[in-house]
Amino acid sequence: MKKIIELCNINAVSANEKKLAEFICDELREYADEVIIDSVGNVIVHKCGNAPKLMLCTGMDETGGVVTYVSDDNKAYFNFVGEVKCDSVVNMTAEFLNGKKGVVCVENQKSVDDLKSSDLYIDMCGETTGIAEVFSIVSEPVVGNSSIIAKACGIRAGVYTLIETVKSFKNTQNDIYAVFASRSQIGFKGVKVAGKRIAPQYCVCIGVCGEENNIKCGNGFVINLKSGYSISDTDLVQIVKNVSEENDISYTEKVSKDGIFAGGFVKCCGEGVKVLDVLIPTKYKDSPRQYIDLNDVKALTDMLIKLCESDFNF
Amino acid sequence: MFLKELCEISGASGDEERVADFIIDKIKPYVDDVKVDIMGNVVAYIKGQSPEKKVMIAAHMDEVGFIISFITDDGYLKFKLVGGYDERILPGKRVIVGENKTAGVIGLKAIHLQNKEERNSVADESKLVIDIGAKSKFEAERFVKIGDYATFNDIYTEIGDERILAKALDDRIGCDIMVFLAQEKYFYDTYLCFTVQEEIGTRGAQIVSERIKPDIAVVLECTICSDVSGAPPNMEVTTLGGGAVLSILDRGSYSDVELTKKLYKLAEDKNISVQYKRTNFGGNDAREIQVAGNGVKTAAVSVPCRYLHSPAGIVNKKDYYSARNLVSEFLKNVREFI
Repeated sequence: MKKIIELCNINAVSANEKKLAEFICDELREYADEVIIDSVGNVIVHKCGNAPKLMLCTGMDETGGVVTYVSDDNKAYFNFVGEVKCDSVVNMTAEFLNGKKGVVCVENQKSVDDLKSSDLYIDMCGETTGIAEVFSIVSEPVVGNSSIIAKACGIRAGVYTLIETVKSFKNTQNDIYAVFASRSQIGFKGVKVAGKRIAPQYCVCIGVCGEENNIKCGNGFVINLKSGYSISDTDLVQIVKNVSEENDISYTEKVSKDGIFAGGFVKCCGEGVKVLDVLIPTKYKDSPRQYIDLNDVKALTDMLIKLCESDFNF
Repeated sequence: MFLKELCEISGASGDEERVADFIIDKIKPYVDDVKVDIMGNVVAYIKGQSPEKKVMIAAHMDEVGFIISFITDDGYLKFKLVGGYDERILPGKRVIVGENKTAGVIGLKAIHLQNKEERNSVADESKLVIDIGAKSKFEAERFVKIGDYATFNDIYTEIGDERILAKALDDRIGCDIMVFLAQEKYFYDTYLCFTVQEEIGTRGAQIVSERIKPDIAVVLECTICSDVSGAPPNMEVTTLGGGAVLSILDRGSYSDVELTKKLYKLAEDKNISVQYKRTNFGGNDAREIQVAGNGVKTAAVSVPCRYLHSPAGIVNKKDYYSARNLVSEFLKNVREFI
């Protein structure tokens, strides 16, 4: 739990992930044969093997904002980076990469029901900020017995899962790449680049979903069978189900016409990739504070460790 | 500067050949190699002192336009849009159609014949025609055929003390800057890429950047300027006369943060006027270039332009020179950026 909160507290808005990338590199350097940060900011961790290439990936970046104009009366206007609901950030604290803070305010007392990003500005409380400075929407984490509510909690739980997986799996012949992808909130640019570089045969992408129908926090990780932009490979789905059932790991299955996950951006890389999206269920998915159940994170981590140790020559 | 000639050439997306021919003619004496690929991208290669790194500069040759889809019995041309438009600007505009450069005008049913609903709505392409003066389909077919491209037909005009009024400034202004850049030598191997089909999905850039796999890239563009009466300052996007524009992010890409900040500092150090783009509207070839190969550090340097994608854009010559000088200085100092 402590490590997930530590990861959540690192500000890493899309395309500005350097601090988080270096944290991940430091965590994994001794566990891997090679660790690099590529041209677009992806962290790529390689544990060499002889069997087919398996790529595991998770996004690492969070939504946020970038200052585009500062008025004479020191209001810092901004654009969102990634999809953010305007009403969810009103009166929240904006923390800049340089440590400065401000509060998101509404222009001319507009109703929160029909806000546009151009109606918002940051009151820097007498401080100054430059154009192009990037900020995260921050808040104090709330911690329960087996759950956390915190900034970027879903995606950082994915980062934690992949870190723990790389540290833990043993006895495998698989050639495994763990990718902590940059720019996932602005069109999955990082994972697309990593997929082309690695050109794996198999890829399991960790993502985040909201609660719906049978998908509830605390019921285990989620196997995404179909979403708007991808269909998971049936062989990989069966392997993951078998691994989960053999090891008493909880999971649920999701079929949806909506939702865009990373797998859709990897499947056409190289000569084609068998992909599977596995998801961590969250509450308040599109808000600056998300809820996760640690049992779901453990279930996904346990499954991925066993999966890495599985025979992929099917 | 060949901007007048470049802007007055018709070259909608998919029909860039005349623009390409003009550019090749101008750059061939200076560059080490120039090739036209299958899609029509023009790639000029300038051999550097070192082959260790590859530098790509890109500007697109195509402009927004129209494609003729049907000729009516009474000689009017139905058409489809090529690229993105504010359709409210179309009626009454002069166009030039096809290889024969047939002049025409975009026509709409006369206002006294329109019902209330028609008067209160924007006429889309389905309600518009191009009138080339033909009385019949037979007569029209002597001049044009289905599949012909059309573009706006406006002349390049210098207005005020320092401004230019023209069609197709997006992105012939970038092409013109690259023609200038072709006349120098640089430290690393440099590829000047005049791309096709940017306006319909940055398609040329996708192909050319995957082939070159550059280490670093700068896109030269013409970007939105809304500093017109009534726009709040934070929504003006850019300011005419405010200098070269550096994009932070747009709908298709997030410029490399370090590269963009270095370019801004370079501009300041060299006394070149520079400004950041203030919204995330628009997109350009950077969308495809940044994800080419194993990923490319990419930035976009633009010239602000009022009334983009219309027959009459306005740019400031000072901004043109700021963008040109900035990219020229970047290439001269490229070792500090890689």
